[in-house]
Amino acid sequence: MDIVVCIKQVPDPEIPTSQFKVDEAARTVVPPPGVAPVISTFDLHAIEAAVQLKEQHGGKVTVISLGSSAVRDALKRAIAMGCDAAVQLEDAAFEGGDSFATAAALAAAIRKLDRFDLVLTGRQASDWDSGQVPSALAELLDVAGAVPVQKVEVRDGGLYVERVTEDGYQPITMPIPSVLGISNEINQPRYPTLKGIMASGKVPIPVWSAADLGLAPEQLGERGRRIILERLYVPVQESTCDFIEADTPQEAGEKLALRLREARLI
Amino acid sequence: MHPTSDMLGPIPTVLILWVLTLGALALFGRSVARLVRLLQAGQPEQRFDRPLARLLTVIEHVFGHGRLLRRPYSGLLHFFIFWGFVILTIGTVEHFAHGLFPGFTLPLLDRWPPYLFSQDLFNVLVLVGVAMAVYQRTVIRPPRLTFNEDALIILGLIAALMVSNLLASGARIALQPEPTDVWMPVSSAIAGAFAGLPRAAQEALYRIGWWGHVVLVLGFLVYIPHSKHLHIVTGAPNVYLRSSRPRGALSTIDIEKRLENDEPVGVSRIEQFSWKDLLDTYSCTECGRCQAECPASISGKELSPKYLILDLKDHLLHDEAGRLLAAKSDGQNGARGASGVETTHKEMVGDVIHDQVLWDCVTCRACMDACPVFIEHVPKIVDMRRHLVMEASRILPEFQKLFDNVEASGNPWRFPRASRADWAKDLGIPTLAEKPDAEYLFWVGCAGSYDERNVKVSVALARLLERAGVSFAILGTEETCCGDPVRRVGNEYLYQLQAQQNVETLQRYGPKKIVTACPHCFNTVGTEYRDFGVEFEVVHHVQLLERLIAEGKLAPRDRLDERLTYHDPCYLGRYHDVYDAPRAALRAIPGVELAEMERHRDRAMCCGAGGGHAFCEERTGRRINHIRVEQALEAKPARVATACPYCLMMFEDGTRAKDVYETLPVADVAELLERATRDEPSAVSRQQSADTTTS
Repeated sequence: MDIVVCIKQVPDPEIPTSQFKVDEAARTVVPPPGVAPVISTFDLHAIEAAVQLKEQHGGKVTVISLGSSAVRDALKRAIAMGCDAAVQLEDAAFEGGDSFATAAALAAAIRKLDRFDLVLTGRQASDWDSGQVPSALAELLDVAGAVPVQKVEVRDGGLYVERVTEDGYQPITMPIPSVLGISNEINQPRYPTLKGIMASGKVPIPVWSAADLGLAPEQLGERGRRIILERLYVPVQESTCDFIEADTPQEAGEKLALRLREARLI
Repeated sequence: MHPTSDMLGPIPTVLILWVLTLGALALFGRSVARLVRLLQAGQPEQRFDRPLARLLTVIEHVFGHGRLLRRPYSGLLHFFIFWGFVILTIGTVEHFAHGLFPGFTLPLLDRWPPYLFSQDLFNVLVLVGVAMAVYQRTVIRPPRLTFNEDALIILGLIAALMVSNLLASGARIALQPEPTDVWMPVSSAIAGAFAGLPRAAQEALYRIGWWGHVVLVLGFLVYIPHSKHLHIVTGAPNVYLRSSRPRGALSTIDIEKRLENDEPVGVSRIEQFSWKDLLDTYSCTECGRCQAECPASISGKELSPKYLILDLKDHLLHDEAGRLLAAKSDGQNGARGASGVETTHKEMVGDVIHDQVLWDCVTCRACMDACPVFIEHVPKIVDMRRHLVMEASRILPEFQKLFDNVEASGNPWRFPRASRADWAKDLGIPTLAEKPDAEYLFWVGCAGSYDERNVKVSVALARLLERAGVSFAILGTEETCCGDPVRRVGNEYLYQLQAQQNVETLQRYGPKKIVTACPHCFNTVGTEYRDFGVEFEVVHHVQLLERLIAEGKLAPRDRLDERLTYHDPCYLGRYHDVYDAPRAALRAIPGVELAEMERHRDRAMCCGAGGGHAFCEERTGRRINHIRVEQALEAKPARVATACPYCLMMFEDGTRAKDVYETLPVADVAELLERATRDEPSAVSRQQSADTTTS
């Protein structure tokens, strides 16, 4: 089974939210300084799922990520966990892109590989939680897709997939190849072995640009966005507490009812 | 009268004796040779340094029964049997020599009254010891002892040896009395009982006793290598070969080199242990003292240090012996990772020793402290944990989180590196960068920097140092986790990354002295970092505070009229023998009454946070910290004092769980001293002084 895993490097989600700042003018998030970024949480589960499938069925796992040279640490971690090859997508043209622009780049990269039987990503990224890339990838690659997924097995030349629903799961059969957005229920991502950590330093990681992917500038980055970010801010949460003054409980009850009526709550 | 001057049919009995003796020696020799060959399959280890110190240990603990006598009943019975064995061996040599070489008499000792008396005396004392042992095993039945056949067979054999000796001795006196027999009162009494018998009967009794003793001795000799009585042979050597490294220092391995040579970085097969580790398994007598002291065993976990060692012994002698001996004879010397003839292979780590057994250990060293033959349990557990973590990647999820946190932000809780010195920001404490000539570097540690409760201890210590006029500084954000928790859990790689960072920082500043409030940092920075070529004078705060009080630089004047009990942290007490300093510091506070828990000093029970357990759940049995709180309550204190951030956290967690949080407050020694020395104002603002709370 040749599997592709798409991962994203994000600011550490374990940092207390109070430490993050928002630059409202530039509409960007400013994480606290000196904290190393990490692999997005659900992506770790996707890597683990891919490696487990490879261990069962043979084949090769390639991990791809879009970003600057910092993402190479994320790619190395994925290799230390058991991926065989990695590709970094880097280009100034990628900057400012949304999920769809990112998916366009990833899809082009996937098509550039020899072959694939399965594409796995995390169901959503730990920073923006948009959850669009898996579905967009499926559409662009013209294959079946399912999100979020808590189980995947190879059966009878196809895939048995369990898709998470609000109150349970949906069993589905899907063809090979497919795209799956992996959810955390599926596994416990492994800690890399020492051999893995050492090996990850030696695997070459090629860098592909927009030109390598044969993509036009309109599909990418700021220009390729389908979502316009209008405003980014930290909502101010306030609460006020009014005491209903009255002489008797009955009177208080009446006054409360009137207040709720005025507020159109009843 | 001579036992082997006659004939059995056509065969001279002396010949029979020769054949039996040589045969038994050959069988014994063959068994021992096999055991030695298996030891040679283990990895090399240097244990022959400091011969004098080693000899003194043997004198104190083998001949002097140092550890055995901590349990007076068992210690005494063993003292009788052991010394009986030693003294009576002379008699046994005489017995056999007399039979093998007709005309032989023992030089010097023969007919020497004290020698004669010693034989009689110890024959009886051994029987007393055996009786005490049988009573213990059948009536008292302490849980640490396994009630098994092997033990009763051995006790039976020993008793029979004594009886046969006395029988022969008594019969000889009846047949051929000597004037010196007055020095053998017991044998003489037995001879008296035989006095009325016809001579032929007396001779028969003599022969039965004499030859019975021969058969029993030779039988015992052949049996020893196959039973736990092997400890007779290996016990004293095992004590001699004890580790001479500082107690708290785990082995530092050259990870890069091992990976280059494709050698393992943890232990997953029996031959990856050193020959000394394997000798440990031979020396276990199944006494169970380790198990009786082990917090995991006490609280109902799967781990029993005794069965850990015995399971390894079984695995070596039964599961793997065939393979290891075959590999040896094929010329493949048991190199790390060499496999040979494989049959149904039981995984040592996983099948023989379950993963959870390894995780259960809190590295408190109570087992090693209790063991009369100085078996080393904890390093073996950590070696196997290294396999689980760095090779097999079978890690408890909480420990994975611990590793990720320490790697990402240099502390176990993922707090940002940049806020490591926030606790000190309004206190005016200089960093070492600002004050490089400070006399002391105050190594704060992760708990002291980030944990709300333990920050109060850091503040208290800082105030005390100021009041005493000690010049000190902190590393601030240049300090990162010492690496102790990840090392104990088995992530030697991450530990070395952390250690290298800290060693580099420390070498750059070259502090003269270091003081820390955490016994784990104290142990790691003070002893384990030496493996990286640096050595600093590191003290724990209780040691420094005691000294400052003795020098008059700190004078506790504010009364604390309370009955306190002090909980000895494992990494301060058992690891480094620091028991008196904290007690002296507490007693210096006027009004303090110090009560001891039953389990105190070297017998203190761990709070349950060591070995990485501060960061994971206990899923079976009772919680160790709850048990320890119960032990503290038995001393009826008004407050518990301790000197370790983990102990502090575990005690407070425990008192909350047992609903005594209000009635049994917990404080660090530094906090109590700080409260007692407040009449001396410091450079710190009055406001800071007011908002330190020690409940």
